[in-house]
Amino acid sequence: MNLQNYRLEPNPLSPGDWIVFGDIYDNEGNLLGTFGENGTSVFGWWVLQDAQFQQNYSNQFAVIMAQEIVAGTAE
Amino acid sequence: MPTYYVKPAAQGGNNSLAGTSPSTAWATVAYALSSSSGFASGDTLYIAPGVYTDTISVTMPNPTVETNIIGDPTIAQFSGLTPGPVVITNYNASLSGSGYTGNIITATTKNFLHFQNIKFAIDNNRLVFTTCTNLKLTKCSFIARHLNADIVTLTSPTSTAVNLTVNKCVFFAGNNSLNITGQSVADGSTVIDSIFIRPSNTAMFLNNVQVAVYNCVILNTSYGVLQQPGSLTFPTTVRNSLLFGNLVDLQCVTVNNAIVENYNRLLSPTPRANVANNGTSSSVGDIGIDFFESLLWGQNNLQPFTSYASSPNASFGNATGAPTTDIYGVTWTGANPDTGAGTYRVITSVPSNVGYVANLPVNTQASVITIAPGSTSQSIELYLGATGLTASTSGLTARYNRTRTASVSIPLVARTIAQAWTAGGFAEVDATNMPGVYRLDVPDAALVSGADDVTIVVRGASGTNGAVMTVKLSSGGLTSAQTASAVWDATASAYNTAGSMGEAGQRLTGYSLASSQTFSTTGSVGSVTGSVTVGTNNDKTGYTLSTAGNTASADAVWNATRSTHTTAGTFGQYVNAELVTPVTSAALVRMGPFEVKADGLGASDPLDIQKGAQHGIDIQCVDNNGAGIDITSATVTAKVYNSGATLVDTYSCTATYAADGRATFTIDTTVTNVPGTYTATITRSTTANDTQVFGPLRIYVRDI
Repeated sequence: MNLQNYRLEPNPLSPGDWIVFGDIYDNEGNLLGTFGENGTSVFGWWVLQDAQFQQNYSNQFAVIMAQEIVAGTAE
Repeated sequence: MPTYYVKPAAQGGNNSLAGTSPSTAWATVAYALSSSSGFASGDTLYIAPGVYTDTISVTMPNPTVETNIIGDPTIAQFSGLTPGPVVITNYNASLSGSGYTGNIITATTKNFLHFQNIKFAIDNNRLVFTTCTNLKLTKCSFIARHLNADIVTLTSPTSTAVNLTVNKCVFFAGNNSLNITGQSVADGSTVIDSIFIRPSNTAMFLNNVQVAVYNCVILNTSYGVLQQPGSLTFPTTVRNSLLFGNLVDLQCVTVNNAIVENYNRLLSPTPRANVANNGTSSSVGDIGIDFFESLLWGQNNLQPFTSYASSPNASFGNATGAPTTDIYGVTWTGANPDTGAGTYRVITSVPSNVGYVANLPVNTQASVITIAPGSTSQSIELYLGATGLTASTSGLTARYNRTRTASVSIPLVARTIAQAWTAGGFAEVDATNMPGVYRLDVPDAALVSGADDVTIVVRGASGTNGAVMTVKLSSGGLTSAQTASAVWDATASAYNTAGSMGEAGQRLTGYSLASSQTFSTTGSVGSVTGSVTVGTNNDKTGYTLSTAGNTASADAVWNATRSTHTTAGTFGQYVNAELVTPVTSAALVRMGPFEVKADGLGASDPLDIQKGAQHGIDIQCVDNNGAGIDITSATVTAKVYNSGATLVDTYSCTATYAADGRATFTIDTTVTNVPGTYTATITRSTTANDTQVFGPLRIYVRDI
């Protein structure tokens, strides 16, 4: 799976959110999918996932949050 | 260009010393690279094995040519110290604790620094090179325990290329292994033959810099190579590399396709993001490298992160621009470079503790052989591990010492493997099929008698801890020539034990030739004092007797005692009877031949007699003229012989008219009982010296 025209942009309508743009191809160059003409909001996509998915990645994110808090680079 | 030295304080290093020799070495790398030491552009600094807890601020004058900072784990420069890693760390000296707050290395506008053979053990802090160019990192490892700090951060001055060179290095953990910021100009930066394991964010975070990435392994990171931003004019190249276990292998941000990739194996779920697929890479199949399995299973025939046999990485790469050897310095096994950093080859002959991280120390190879004292022109084979060493390889030295004597240098002389011996000759045996084995021609002076053994050491080159060979000087190691001389020149009298080969050789009896032998006909036998028995002498061709031999033979015949040679029928008997004791005289001599006529009628026709008959037979003895022979007073006998010339019977004859030679005898059944052909002779004898024989007369006995 390869990405083309991939980019992230801040969501002007929702501070802290990001919008993902790009097209998804297989290794043979066939288009598999797309993030949409207007991109996909991370926040919007996140809340659509099931609780197990959210818990797994929240666990990983929590550790990073803790490191940043201790390092004084985040509150 | 001066050379300076650093060794641990515990080994005598002292920053107050001159630092210009191993014995006056400084104690810290920080001091060496400071403005206080005198270390300057183009100089070389050797660092002895040990842990240096330095926070190094490079304040020396900005170098304008390559300036080497070289770890010496094999103590090529530090005789007497113990080989081991050269570690620069911001942990404490026991590599424990939480580390210092400062960076391991901080340098601003210091160009042409070349770090080699050093392990950097990193806590949170890192190596920071600001506005520096032409930095080189060779055979170094950068091992971090955290994921949240970049390992090497490098920026170049405005409008200036970075020109970074990373060769045969290993990076572990950290955030970005290499965080490089360039100036969007043509840049000669290269990263080759290196391995990047688990950086949290990227192996290479490239900001406006063009880098050529060849034959690297990048695994378990978020983005293998992240170009952010990049340039289509000066794109980064990624070639012959193996990336797997990453979130994205290659990604461009802001400028799509600022990375050009070819001949890679990109095995992560998302091989490319904003990077064109040029169709020469693969995204399928097994990773294809050894993950310590050989060591786990005790096979020890592969080094970790090298291609295993029949790996999909083998020869998958492209030679254009690629390094000619892998991370271990080994030429690619196949026609093309492998993808990844290590090519496939079996290293069964390498000891189990060979370092698999570049340039960590390996045990010195030691062995013992025996050579006869006084041997000359001797060559030995040593295992040094590394390939490609020559007599002129930097740091490579050879020495020997004889028992309880000072060591002696062996100046190395370049040789090819087939060239003749010369003292100090040094040649690689076969880099492909016997990698790491070298021939050394031992000076004759090392092997002269008078010492129990000689120890020979070859060491000092990068990539090997050298080899030690002990040569026992013992006649147990006689050369062929010495062995032959010892046997054939031995005193015969000292080797005559009964039953021994020596005794047999001296006795020289009881021998026979196993088969017919051809001997020289031009030589001669000096003498034979005993008798010679000749079993078969029917082949006498080519033999002659000397004149003396002829004379001796004649003497033997003519001087033989006559009385002992009287055997009837022999020449001896004849000579005795006829020449030595001839008849005294003859009363009457008649000349033959004589005839016998049987029927009294003057005929000598054969007689026919019936089987079993007894007949009287009249005979007449006549001479050649047919005249009768007088048999008066003579003894006349008839002897009858069968057809086998066997005398059958003898009959006495009775004279009937003696003066005319007429007589009669009666043949009886002794003869006539057996039919056959008989002959009869008539013997007339008057004395021993007057005998005539008449006949023969043929007689047929017929069974009618």
